[in-house]
Amino acid sequence: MFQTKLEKFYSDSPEVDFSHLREMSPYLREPEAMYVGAPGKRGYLNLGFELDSSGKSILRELDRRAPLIVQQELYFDEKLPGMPCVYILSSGGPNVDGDRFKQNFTVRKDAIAHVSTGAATKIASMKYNYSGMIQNIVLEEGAYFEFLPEPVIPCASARFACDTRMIIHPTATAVYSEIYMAGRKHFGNGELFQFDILSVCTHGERPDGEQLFREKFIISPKETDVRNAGVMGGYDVFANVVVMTPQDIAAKVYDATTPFIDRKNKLAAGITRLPNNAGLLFKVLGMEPGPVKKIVREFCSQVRLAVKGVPLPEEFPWR
Amino acid sequence: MKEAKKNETPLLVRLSHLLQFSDSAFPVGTFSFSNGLETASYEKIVYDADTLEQYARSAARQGAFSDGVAALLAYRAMEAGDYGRIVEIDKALMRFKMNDEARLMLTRMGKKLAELGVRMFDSNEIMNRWLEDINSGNAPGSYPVAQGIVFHIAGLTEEELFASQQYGVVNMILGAALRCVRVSHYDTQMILTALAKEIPQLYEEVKSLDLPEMHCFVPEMDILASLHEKGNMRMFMS
Repeated sequence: MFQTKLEKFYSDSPEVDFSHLREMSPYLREPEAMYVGAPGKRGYLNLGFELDSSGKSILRELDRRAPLIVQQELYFDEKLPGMPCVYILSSGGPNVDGDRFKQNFTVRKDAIAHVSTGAATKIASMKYNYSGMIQNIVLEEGAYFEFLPEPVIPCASARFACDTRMIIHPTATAVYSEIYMAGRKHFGNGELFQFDILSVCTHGERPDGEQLFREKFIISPKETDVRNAGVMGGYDVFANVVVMTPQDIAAKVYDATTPFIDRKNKLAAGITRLPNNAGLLFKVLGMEPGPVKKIVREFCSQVRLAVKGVPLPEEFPWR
Repeated sequence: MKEAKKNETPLLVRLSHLLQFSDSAFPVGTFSFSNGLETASYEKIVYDADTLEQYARSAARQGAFSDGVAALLAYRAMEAGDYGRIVEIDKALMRFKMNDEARLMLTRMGKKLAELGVRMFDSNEIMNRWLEDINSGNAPGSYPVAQGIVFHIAGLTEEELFASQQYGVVNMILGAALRCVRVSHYDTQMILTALAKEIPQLYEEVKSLDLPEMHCFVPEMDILASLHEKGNMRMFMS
């Protein structure tokens, strides 16, 4: 057992405090390996996109702490070649017991940006503590931001808390997507819904502080049956896409999107309007991440079409 | 405080109020909503007593951790005479409701209950003020908040409020089920009896929650609501 008597050093990156979450209170023991807040266990990312003097969107601010890595922006989107694209990587591999993360994304006036992750985010098995992430997404006037990360895979006994605050100007558009798998489906005999808890909250507001919507879900499959009709039913993958956008764009995308339940292929999707005319909420259920991701991308493509007049490019064959 | 309130209203009057407010014939329009069941039945997600029980359980749980929390908090705001808090709870609940039909259901039933409330208990200042604010667009007027207010005025307890809220959600679905799922009235009454036994546990989990702690996870129901919203099935309004 590793229990250091040496002085503990703490990362200088911002603290990630989830002490207000009652559902995480059973998981507050200090890990016997690296302690909470140790350098390398408190990741931090601050990305600021803005227009340069020639009107090109660039990644102006980049600050990061391990295990989060962002190298530089690339312009690989064939449909929007002027859009900086960034992949977030984690040198630590999965999120481990006691990890904390904070990610800030700011897109300034009229700038555009796309952020994703390099691979799926694995939430490792945990014994003592939990992994937590706070995200702030701030969009100024006329900004456009796509956040389309790879799926999150919570392993057996994983615990994950995530709080995403979106502060979006009424003229800006933010697409924020999350795909959650039930676990390592093809590991051993299949590890489905064996994690301890996922507590995920996404809330939106205007720059003047006006609160628009707040969505929170807690999945604790060991306490309540997620297989019940109405919850996950027979599905294994769940995606949630929040789009904060002006009303005319929302109306166009809403009209262009048809909800469906495809019983043969076991896929389903639904769209709804967020409260207070904040935008749209799109949900997908499926069996494997591939088809779910494809539907999420098709939906995001509709949003991009409505805002920028161009669709999303084909996904890279290796993704 | 709760004990004192109980004593003010005679037991038989209280019980009579509880029956009145929980009755499916209470004129707030419960019967016109199915909480997604109409689509669930069409999509063969709910097709027998077992799947109906699962669906009703999912809805009850979802309701407990959102509407139930709001109703209990509104009841306590009445206890404290805090009108500002009532409106805060009302707005927070609407920010949490992610689809048009759910918002429509809540505000339509809420306003009806508020209108009934001011007639049934004409001297209550908070009730009157809230209805004025609903009519002028300053408060959304959601049903759980209306329940919290009316139950408090009628001298009912928090537990009775929560039981009625849960009964309302389940009974709405079971009432709709008799019209759109192949189940008998024996099945629905057995489900109602089984789910009643789960109310105490839910109350324990819910009673200490505050507004930011409201949560729900029913993605399949959300997708059904979306299909209903964009579809043309209209036996029910949701």
